[in-house]
Amino acid sequence: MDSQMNETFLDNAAGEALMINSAADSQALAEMRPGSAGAGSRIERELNETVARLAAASPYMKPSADLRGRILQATAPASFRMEDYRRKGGEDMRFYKWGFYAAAVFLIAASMYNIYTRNTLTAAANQQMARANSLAQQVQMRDSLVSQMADPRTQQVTMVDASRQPVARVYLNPQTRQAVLIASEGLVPEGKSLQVRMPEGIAEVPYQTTVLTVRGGGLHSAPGQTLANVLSIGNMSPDESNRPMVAGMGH
Amino acid sequence: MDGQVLNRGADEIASAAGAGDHGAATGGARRTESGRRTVLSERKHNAESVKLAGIFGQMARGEHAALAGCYDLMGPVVFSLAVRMLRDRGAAEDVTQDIFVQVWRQSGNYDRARGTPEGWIMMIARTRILDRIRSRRAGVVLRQAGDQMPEAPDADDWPEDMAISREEAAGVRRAILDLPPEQRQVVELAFFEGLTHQEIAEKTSVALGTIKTRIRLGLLKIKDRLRGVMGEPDVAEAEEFERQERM
Repeated sequence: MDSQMNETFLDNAAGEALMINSAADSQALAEMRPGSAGAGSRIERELNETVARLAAASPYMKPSADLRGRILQATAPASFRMEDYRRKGGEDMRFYKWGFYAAAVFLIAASMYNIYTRNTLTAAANQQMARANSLAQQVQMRDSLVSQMADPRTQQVTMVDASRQPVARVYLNPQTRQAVLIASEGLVPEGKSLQVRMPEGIAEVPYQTTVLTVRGGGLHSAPGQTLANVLSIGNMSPDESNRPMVAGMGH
Repeated sequence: MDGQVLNRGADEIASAAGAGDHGAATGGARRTESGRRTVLSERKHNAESVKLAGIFGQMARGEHAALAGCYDLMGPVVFSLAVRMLRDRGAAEDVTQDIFVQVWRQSGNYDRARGTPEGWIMMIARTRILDRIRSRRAGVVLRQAGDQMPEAPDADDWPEDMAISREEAAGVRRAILDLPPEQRQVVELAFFEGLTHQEIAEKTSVALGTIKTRIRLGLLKIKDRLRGVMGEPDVAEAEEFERQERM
């Protein structure tokens, strides 16, 4: 092959690689190919690769973010798994792994914090509830005691010690068999319940007794002195110094 | 035809043209040899190109997810070229989509023996883009081109993780810049504008034969500068990558 033919082949091969050949040039190249042996096809291939890389001479332009998705959607089979695209796309799975660990640690910490906070709030709520119940019971007891003490059938008994000093006062209601015992603070022993009993015929009847302790109030409280846990009232005598009186309109 | 003579003839023509145009044949040859070694060493490390070869195998087997990887390696390259040639981002996106749909459908036709996968994709890309340009010239496309874009790319605006590496891109850009102005002009008109020999001759008022010669010399010089890049990816390496992908 002479130099002129060489140049013609290369002209046409370059034009073919650039896709700018006329039909006649392409036809001429096709006719020359069989005579060019391996070297001709190698040069054509190198020219094609050269032209392919000329794309890098373009300024880099970033495609829009949704173009990738549009292409995948346009070519996708009926169903596909996103995980496959991450793997084939060369995305680094370490990110997901460590992200998963971080999320798990965060969730565990958040759960523990939630449990701790819930327990604290529950304990505080229970405490408040107990306090409220206690207050409600106290109010209920106060109302009950006031009712008993206001009941006209209730008898007021002043209990005295051996030296006739008043140590407690009992309000007894024989109808309801309820008693309210008011004693000086030091006279009621710790951890013991007191109960008033009254004789009725040959029997001794227990009264449902509510004990109130007061400081002062004119009740005597000698050191070392306590009320017995059963207050059996054997006999009673009128207290002439403190007789109940009746008052009202028209008197 | 004697293949050896043909090959040697091409190199001699390219060297002679470089000497004639630059007037510095010796220096040019030294630069070329140095550039060749550099590109060869860079090529060895372009794992993305090897990866693309593996991805082609998967696409040929119908693994649709592999197309996502193919797009990641070549999508921006194709899109950049489409914008440069069409000067219209919208049209460039449309044609990029068409190109990858075609790549997906025809991936089974790809033959390693005939070139690299990126070369195959770019051949499809240029065919599609040139079709669009030529139909636009024929008045088929109503939309007018006109997106603004720089004439010359920045030195290092190329991303790292493309099948055509940043170093290769820089090499291509240097190779084009090093061409004599008259060769550079015709190569750019042919490559980016898609003008035929005849159209370039009319546009530049230069004889058709001279245009063909300038294009041939310009392209051969660029090829010579990028000689290290021309080989296909290491097949064994590509197959190893493909094997790992399957696991």
